[in-house]
Amino acid sequence: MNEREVLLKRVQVCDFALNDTALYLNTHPDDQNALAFYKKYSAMRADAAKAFVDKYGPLTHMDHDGGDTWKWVDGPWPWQQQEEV
Amino acid sequence: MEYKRQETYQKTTMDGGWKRVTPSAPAPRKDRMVQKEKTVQAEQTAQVERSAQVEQMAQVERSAQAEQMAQVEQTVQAEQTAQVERSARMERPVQKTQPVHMMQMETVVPQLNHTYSSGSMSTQPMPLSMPRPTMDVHPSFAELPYPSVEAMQYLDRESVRIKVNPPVISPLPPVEIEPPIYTFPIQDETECGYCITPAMSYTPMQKWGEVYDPDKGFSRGTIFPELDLPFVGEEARK
Repeated sequence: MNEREVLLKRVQVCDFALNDTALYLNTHPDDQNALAFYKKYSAMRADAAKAFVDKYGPLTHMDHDGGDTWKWVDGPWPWQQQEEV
Repeated sequence: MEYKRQETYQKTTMDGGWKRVTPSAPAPRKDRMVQKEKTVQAEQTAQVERSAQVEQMAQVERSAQAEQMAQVEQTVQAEQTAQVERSARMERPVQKTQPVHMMQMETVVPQLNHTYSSGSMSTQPMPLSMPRPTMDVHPSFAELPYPSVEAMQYLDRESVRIKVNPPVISPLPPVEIEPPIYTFPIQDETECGYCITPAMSYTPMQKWGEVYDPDKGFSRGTIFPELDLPFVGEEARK
């Protein structure tokens, strides 16, 4: 597993944990433990996403850095992941 | 005549016991006569009113029936004339003096499925646009310009629906059909499904406890150990 994969996996894992916690919070909006967990992994996800975007380009088109080039089309498409890795 | 004091008993509903009821003495004879005359007069006026009402109702009904009959006759006549026209249109012989496009429309369009490759059609000059046929066209095509015969060769058969000679529906008297009585051959009433006693379910609220490490949760499909209940299928029996 190369660095790109590691960073991407970290984002995916954080996303999944956040999603599951969000489902819990829908029915328990005042659960402080769940809110703390969400906050922790939300920050972790932001860090992981930033690390990935800085090194390997945007995760979504909304990660556009405001530069002169539109980098969204430069990265591999999902069906090209296995070939390039 | 001497009024005989009557004593009747009524059953009271409050305590289930009996209560003695003494009716008040009747009014004097003169007053009674006056009251009787009044009631007779009232009855007579009521009867007159009733008969007038009945007559009015009968008249209204008669006029409504006559109107309905006239309407039915009109529709039947219209249908008959329409049918005659239709049959005349369909059976009209193809004359050589008729313009070519009229001939094609009236004779060929009802038989769309076996025409356009025939030699007789191809020898005749094809007009580029055709007038709309006089028969009923599916409403979705009613507003479209009718395609030429040339173009229709390439059209899907199903895309051009032409209704020829719709059946004439004559007004029939309504037939009363008795609804069938369904019987269920079920002996035990607990088998039938709707006699089962309704159940109540209780699902406890989830509580925040230990959660998986996010890596493990990612692979297990949930971060909550209490919800990590994989479907094992046949393995459950072993």
